Amino acid sequence: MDKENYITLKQVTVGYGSYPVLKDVSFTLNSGELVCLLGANGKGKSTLLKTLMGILPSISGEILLKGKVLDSISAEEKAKDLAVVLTDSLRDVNMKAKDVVSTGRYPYLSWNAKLSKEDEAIIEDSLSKVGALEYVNRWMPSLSDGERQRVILARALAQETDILLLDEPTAFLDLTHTMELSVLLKKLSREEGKSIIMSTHDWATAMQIADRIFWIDEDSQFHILETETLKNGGKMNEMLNSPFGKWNTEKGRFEINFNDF
Amino acid sequence: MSLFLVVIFIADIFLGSVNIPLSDFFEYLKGNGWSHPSYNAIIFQYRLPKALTACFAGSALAVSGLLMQSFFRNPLAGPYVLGISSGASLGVALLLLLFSGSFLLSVPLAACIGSLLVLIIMIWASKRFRSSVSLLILGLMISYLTGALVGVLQYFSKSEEIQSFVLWGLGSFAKTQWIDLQIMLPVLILGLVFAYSRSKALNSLLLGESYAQSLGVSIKSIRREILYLVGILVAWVTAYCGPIAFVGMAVPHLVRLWVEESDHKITIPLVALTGACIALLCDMIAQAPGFDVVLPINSITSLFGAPFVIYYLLKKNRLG
Repeated sequence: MDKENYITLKQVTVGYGSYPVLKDVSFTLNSGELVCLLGANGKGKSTLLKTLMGILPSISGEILLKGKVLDSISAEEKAKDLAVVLTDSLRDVNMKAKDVVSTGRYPYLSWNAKLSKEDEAIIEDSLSKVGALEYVNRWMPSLSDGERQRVILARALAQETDILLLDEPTAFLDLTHTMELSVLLKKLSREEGKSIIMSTHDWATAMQIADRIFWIDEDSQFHILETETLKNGGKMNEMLNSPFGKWNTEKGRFEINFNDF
Repeated sequence: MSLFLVVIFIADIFLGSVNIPLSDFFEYLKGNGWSHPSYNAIIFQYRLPKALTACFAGSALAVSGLLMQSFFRNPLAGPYVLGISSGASLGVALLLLLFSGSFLLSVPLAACIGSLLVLIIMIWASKRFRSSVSLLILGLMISYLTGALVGVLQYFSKSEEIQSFVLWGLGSFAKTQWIDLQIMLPVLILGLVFAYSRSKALNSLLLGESYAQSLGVSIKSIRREILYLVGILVAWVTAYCGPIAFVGMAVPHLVRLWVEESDHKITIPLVALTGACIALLCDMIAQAPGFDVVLPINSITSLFGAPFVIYYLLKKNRLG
């Protein structure tokens, strides 16, 4: 499969109003790439994702979506290229799981939102991919956090877009479902050529699934890191910058340091 | 449901201080005329317009309530609670008390301006207040403020002007005549059809503005559309029937109790039908069959609406 350029950022500054949160972000994202976005709380992960989603205007710089300037693309058109998972848990949304996933088909439907047989099949397929078929008729408030999260993911999958932007999709998931989601995302990028950016706090998962890692450091500097080089590098300790743990190169994981305390 | 509507529509026409036997109606349909000449006038000049007014006013208020609940993602939203009806009242009060005059479209227009003003404030506030409780409190405060302004206006007004305003404020479906219906019904029907045509965007809005935007909904335009739609529907009803409490807020909940559905394509028609039925029922109760008095409609809707909303909230809290 030929690599196609899906997202390009040139010197982008993101933030709220005129208050910048994250400055000078430049990267390109190609088809079939899975990227994890890491960084401490409040350093601009969600702000960057919201800007890419077109929900928040950028302060400066240029964002291209499949070669077109993001702001010039209509909301309807964008919805066919780009699906999102937000941190909103949708706990109080009075809808059935199936109706939530159905909204994923809306960009393709006319005003009366009538689902075709094909749409129904896509919805069912999306639900089964995340293992949420069994509570398709349950109401959102009656689901657990993890169950709801899977429904929200299925909704994004049903949108059948080339690009997925996921803000902490594993936040409410248990270990089993985090691993299940990891496999699913890897498959989607490898086999279907989707571009995926997901923000997470989970270094262990990120190191295993990501092709590249976007890292925002304590000083709000944006870094692009190759996962392979990171695995054997001492840069990990520099990044973690904490006396409470260090990177074990052989085992490929962070270990908590109990000895000095 | 539609059948039920037809039944109470007919019942509403035949109940009132003058008792018209149903058999007379069948005789009339057969072409035999009425047993009493005044019946014809009572039915066609008074009760039929009143029943039609109740139907469409109920539908319009109930659908406005549903739209606001979806838009604010808040079960307590409604035209009366958020002060939109009070805004319309202020507009009408200014017109009737200050300029002491009304011509064909002046009352609805004054009501529209008042309600849109409050709606704009509420939408501005909804973007700044994170908590929906603050929003509801703001709505209450606006109601008090407009109430106070209306009070001041009344203090300086002549008693005839006050009387016409107070009568208007008690609410009634009976003041509309065919000429008013010709203006009122097309606007309300258009509004309801327009609300229905926005079902898809409204469904997306249930997920919140960000998700709706990511699904291709233009938030700016849908916000503007809902703003004008609710403003015009509520103002139009309020102008002709006076402020009517609780129908807008309670009917969507009533529908939710017996239909497990969130799709606006289904809920909008159901809420409209139920709104019409409830308004007709309230009108029948207001006629107080068997007595010679007519109770104010606003008191009836509050008497039944307020306990119902309390019941709904208690029930919801127990589940959640």
